[in-house]
Amino acid sequence: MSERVAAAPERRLYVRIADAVALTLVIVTVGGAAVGLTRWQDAHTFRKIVEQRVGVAADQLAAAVVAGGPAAAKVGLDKAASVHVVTSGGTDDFGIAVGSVVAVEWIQDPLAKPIDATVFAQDLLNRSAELDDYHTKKQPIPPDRRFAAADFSDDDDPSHAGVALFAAVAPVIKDGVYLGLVRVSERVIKPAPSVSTAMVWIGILLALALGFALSFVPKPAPKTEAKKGVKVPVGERLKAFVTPERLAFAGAAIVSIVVVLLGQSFGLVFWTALMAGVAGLLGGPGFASVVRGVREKPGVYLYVFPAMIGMIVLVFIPFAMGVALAFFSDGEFTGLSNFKEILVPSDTAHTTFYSTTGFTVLWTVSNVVLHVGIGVSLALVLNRENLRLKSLYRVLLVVPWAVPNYITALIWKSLFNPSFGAVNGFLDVLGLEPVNWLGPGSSFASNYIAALTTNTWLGFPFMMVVTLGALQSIPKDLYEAADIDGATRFQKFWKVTLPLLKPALVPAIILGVIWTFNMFNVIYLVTGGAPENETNILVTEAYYAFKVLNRFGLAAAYSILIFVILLLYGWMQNRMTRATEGAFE
Amino acid sequence: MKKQSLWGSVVTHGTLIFITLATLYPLFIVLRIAFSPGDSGANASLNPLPREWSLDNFEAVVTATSSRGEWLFGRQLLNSIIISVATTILGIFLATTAAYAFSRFRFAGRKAGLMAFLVSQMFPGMLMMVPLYLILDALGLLNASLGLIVVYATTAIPFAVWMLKGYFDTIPKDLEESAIMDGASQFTIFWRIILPLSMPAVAVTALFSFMTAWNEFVLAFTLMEEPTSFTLPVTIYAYVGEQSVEWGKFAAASIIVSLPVVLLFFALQRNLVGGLTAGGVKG
Repeated sequence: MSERVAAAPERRLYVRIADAVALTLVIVTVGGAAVGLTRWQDAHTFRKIVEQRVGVAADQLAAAVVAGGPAAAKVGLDKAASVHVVTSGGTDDFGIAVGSVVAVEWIQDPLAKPIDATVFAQDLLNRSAELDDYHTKKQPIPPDRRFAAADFSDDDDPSHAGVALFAAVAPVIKDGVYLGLVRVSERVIKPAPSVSTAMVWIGILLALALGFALSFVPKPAPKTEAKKGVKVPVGERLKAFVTPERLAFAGAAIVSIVVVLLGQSFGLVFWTALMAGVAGLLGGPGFASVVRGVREKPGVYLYVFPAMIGMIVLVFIPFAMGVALAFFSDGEFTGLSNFKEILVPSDTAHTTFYSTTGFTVLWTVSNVVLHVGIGVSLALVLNRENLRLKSLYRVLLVVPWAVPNYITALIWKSLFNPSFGAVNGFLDVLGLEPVNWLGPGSSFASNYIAALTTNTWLGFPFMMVVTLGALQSIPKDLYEAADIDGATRFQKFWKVTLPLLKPALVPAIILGVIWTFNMFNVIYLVTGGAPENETNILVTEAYYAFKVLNRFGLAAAYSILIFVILLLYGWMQNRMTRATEGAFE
Repeated sequence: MKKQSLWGSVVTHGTLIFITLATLYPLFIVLRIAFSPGDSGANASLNPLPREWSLDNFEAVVTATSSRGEWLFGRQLLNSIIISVATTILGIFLATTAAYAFSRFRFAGRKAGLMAFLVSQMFPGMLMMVPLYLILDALGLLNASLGLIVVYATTAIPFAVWMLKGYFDTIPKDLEESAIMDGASQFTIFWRIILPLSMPAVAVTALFSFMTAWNEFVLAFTLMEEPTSFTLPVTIYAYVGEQSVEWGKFAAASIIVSLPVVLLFFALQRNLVGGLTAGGVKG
């Protein structure tokens, strides 16, 4: 108790304000993340509802056209702003010239502006041809080709404020023959976000008040070493547990939940807030000691804060939001279904998560072995004292590192090109048969070799430079002593050089493994996963889920699995080699 | 070490020359493609020189304009320079200050902070793309150079901090102790003693921050909307379309984009070896 009293005078107003601001920052970041996610979810839900509506309208219209001809297009679509029927190739069932716009009918659209009919018709026809293609291949139309949305909010026309245009297309199929397509579009006033700006400010003020109030809670007494066998009363334990910092986190969770309740939007935000609350309770003590540290020596933290705030806002919070998103599909909470989809092999897919992981490991190990092998060998040669021109060699051998890696990937893609690539040109000079390295019909081995060559070229200079640096710092007298003892060259390498390279090489290898494991550019640009996804690594699979399937939750789930694998690797490597031990001393 | 025999040195140099040429050969091919007219340089010939010299591809890349008649290359070059230089300055500021604290002070959260920096290297970038978009939108930094600068500078922090911290650790503490005796403040020590002594590592940090910004294209493409606010790498990628690839223009643009970084590497060559590993080998 006496310590508390002694500590009291130093808690001046500015300390309180600093505390309040620090706590507010925490609360606002958590709350802000929640608000951002709510808005995103709102937009998503809104989009889904309207898409469904125009989708149903388009399907109905297509059915009506099949039953009664294009004239039916005008019937019974109050909701639709406009209806367009376009014929593509195929039968001229309705007696209409192929490729013409049949009906451009503005049924109900107060905001309709005259549009260029020919441009519009051409756009529809282009799309029609594309959909025709899906039809002949008997594939379902992917959602992003079926629906279109345009946001007018940002253009200069004031009458467009908050207005969005949604459109859906549906194929007209009669007796199995593809006739054309209909398009229904609707202009809608976008609803205001359920979390308004005013509410955000109220949240910030609440957080500020909460933070300021919490700064009056007395500091907990410094931890006394609990003696074994002495029971601590429950009340005391509880008191020790309820620290200002834990309260702050709980407050952050409560504020977020209140914001959600006011906005009547659950789901994503609720889970984010819950996660923040749980994380706060678990991480509270660590955070508490940091807050205490800031009070005691603020000058020290001043150096770390700029970098730390940047990292929190632009790296750690996005990471936490991304993790939350892995439990969602299409804006709805779906629990572990994304993970299940990845981890339970399907009968139709050619590759599974496990085969892809296997290839990723093979890819990483083979690359890092080559990087280290080539890098260390070159460094050993270049480190010889009496070698002439060594700085010239060094400069030239580092060049691959300086070239951006996506350019490298594309360069090697052109070199491995079966028809004009220099690799086949080289094989030809040697009198060998050209190889179909990449593209249709190429084998797993050829794709793998092409990607491996590219990434080896890209990666060895880093290991070489790291080794060169480490070699320079090995004292010469160690070798002299070894010479006196009559050590052979090999013994000197094995007993002197290698152990002294280890402290520099192990962290470099850990970084190399992480970079190679996630080397998206090389795989994506060189092989693209060919043949049949066999050379896809986990990151390119995640990208496929993200960009092609438009399923961010699935991509997030992939990313989390990648992160967990890398974390396990880093942890094991660190335990085995104690690589980072020295750094913490 | 004993002096090498003539044969030994012939073998060593022969091997090194062979490896260096093999390393540089792909780049010669790129030069050939770029300096040949159109796409004619993209052929299976092993000759690293163009059959016919031409600057057409460079001209086409440099004079590229948008559909509205704006001079795209000029604007994108300017964007790239502004964003990369600003990223470098901001990155050095953030990384050196943080690394100094991690190296010289013992404080609560130090270990956790260092560990968090290391672990953040394992976050797959894709996971952060959508949240990053939302956050920058909320901050009003979408489609703004400042947004890209801030994102690039922070992504470059972890590696830079670890590297710089390692280097700072090798600077003897005696210097600072005598400075404290003379009444120097903590900041004076950082600014007048530590930073000048760590120039090799700071130069390497600058190089990596610059490279992060100069070479990146996925984020630049995602976070920017207007072609006039893109950086040069986005343009390069556009030449390698899904349907047809304009190899000639791609090669020319690649050379223009790579050249500054390659020159920087040459200039900072000596620092690279010392700056990168000094920290790792002290133990």
